[in-house]
Amino acid sequence: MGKPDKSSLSHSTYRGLGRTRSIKEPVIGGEHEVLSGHQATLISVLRHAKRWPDAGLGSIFWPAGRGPPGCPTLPHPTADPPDVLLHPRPRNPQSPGRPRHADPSPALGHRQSSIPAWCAAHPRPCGDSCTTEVIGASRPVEDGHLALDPSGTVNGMVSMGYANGLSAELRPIPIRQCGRYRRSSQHGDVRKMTSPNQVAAPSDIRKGAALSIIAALLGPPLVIFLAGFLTIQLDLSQVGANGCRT
Amino acid sequence: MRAGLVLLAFAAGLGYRSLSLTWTGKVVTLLVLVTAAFVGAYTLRPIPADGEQHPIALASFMYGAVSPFTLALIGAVIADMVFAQRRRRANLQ
Repeated sequence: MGKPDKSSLSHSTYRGLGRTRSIKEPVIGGEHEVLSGHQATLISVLRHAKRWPDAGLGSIFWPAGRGPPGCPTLPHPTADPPDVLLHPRPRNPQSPGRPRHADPSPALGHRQSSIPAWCAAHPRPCGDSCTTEVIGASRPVEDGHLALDPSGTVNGMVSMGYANGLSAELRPIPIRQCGRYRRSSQHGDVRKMTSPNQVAAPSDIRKGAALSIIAALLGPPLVIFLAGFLTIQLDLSQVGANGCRT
Repeated sequence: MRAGLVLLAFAAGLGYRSLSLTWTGKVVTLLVLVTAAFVGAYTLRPIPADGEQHPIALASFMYGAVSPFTLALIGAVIADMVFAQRRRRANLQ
């Protein structure tokens, strides 16, 4: 596969969770709007590994058999995937002497742990950690393609294609589902975000917290009142016409 | 009436799960329930004598607060907080 078409990259289509969303902003280089946790992971790791330009990634699709019709298909994982875990995981990735963003070439197969810039720049309403971790390359991915794999949930794995035909799998990002928080965006095509790992704006977080406290203050008394009322009615229903319990 | 109590329990559980999103909300819910249980218990002690009249709304609150229903809700909230704490720790690891 040849060099990717820049125009197609600037308007890639992301399919996931039964919806189709468009990435209006360029996803290679420069600033872009992060659409979801998966994409944030993806873009973060792509930036981290700095392999995107070399890989010639031109499209995003679901793996074979799981994606929507019309998507390009992935080759199935080989029965004996190549072992590219060349080096053991360092005990302390943040230790001095080791660059935080290591050179991507030897990093393939390394286990890397870092806090992506996206995690630091965006609020995490549920207070959970936001990390990505390349846990090793295990699956062949067609050159010039990028595979999002497979479930579309928070715990889904993201695979990243490399020019050498291997992929790196990322550890799930533990961003908890945050209920009905909804992040608005100025970009028209990403207005409706119902992904479970979406991130709420700070105002939405405050609104949600206030609503939660109000519900906690008003809900239990209402439930207690209804329970007591039903209990009394239940007792009364057991009293016969003569005033005795039946 | 028993079916109404069962439905109320379901509604309370669903409402709690959908509205009590934050840790603060869970704590406030637990505090309100425990306070209501204590207040109801002390209000009904000594047991009102025969013939003593109570407004139906106040009686509903009192009997509801000391009913096993409230105790079950307190247990459910505590269990949810324990599991939420475990999930949080597991996610942070």
